[in-house]
Amino acid sequence: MKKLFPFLFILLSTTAIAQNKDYLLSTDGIGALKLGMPLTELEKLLKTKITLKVINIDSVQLTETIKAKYKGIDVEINLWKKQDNIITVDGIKTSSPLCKTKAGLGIGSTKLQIIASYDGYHIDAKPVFDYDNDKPVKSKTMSTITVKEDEEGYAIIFNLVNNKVVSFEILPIYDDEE
Amino acid sequence: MKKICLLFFILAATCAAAQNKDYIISMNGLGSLKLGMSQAEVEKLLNKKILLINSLDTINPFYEDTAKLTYKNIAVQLEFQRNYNVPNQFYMQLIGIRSSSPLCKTATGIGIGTDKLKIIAEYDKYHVNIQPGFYSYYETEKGRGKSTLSILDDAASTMDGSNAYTMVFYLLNKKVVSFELKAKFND
Repeated sequence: MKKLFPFLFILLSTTAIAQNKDYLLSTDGIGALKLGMPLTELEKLLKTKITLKVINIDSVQLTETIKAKYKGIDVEINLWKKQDNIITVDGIKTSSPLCKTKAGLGIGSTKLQIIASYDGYHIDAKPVFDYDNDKPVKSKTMSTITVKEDEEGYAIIFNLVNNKVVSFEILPIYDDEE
Repeated sequence: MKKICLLFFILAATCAAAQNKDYIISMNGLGSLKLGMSQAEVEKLLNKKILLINSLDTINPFYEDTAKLTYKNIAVQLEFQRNYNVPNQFYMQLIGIRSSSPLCKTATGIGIGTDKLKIIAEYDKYHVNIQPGFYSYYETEKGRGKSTLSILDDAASTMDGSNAYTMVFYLLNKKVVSFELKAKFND
């Protein structure tokens, strides 16, 4: 019986570490779900066949957002059909409390915790503006924090309500499009 | 004697309050030095003629010029830009103020030595941008511990076409070492 406990403990610890890695939030993805991943690899990872409703049906549209389950959590995945006709992952969004950064940031983390955690990064923290007849109206509660390693490239966007994270997106950001 | 002391105290307090006002950092200027002022208005305030070489050169399209001056005994760098009020006629307008004087503080006490997170907490409702290095439109001075924290007003954040103001803090090891006030005028 005594021998069984350490074995059980090791098994549980290993499972917990593996789970944490699955939900590790970084600028290039969540766990094994990575930006730039081809659709075929994505299907293999999600163990499901993805039926496209826009790309390959509407010849003009090159992007599409799908809803999927990744390791038991709900995710929204942006797909992009590139010039070489390969469809890849171009954005990931989730609000799962299981997802956390290496430093432990996740749902409920505060604005100051995020900014303190990403020292040396490019950070843009701004209120959300809605437009009423082209006039910007600042939200009193909603804001976003964009974190990038470089001026351009992959970014984590934290969506906040009352300065607390409610969801995240991982997107490539180039030029001044943020 | 008691009356003299009281009078002296009131006088000293009044002087200190006036001095503080001279060095108040706000989105639209430093004390009575306001962004948007014409060169003539700045000269009157500083009681000094300012030589801006680019403003005399009407052949080359140099629209901006800077001058290092003294305002109320502190060193400042002022940036001017041509403002065309009628075609082919312009005046130089103040669009930037930079200083590293410890006398300068915001109304809530942010100035040289203030910590990065204190500024972010203070300007909670504003758009905050942080970049590694001492960042400017022209070039970025890279270096360990250097970063630039900008506070943008709503017009600067949305670029809605109205006059936009940005307060920039240059930080070394997360503490303010100098600041710059910038404006973009659309009138």
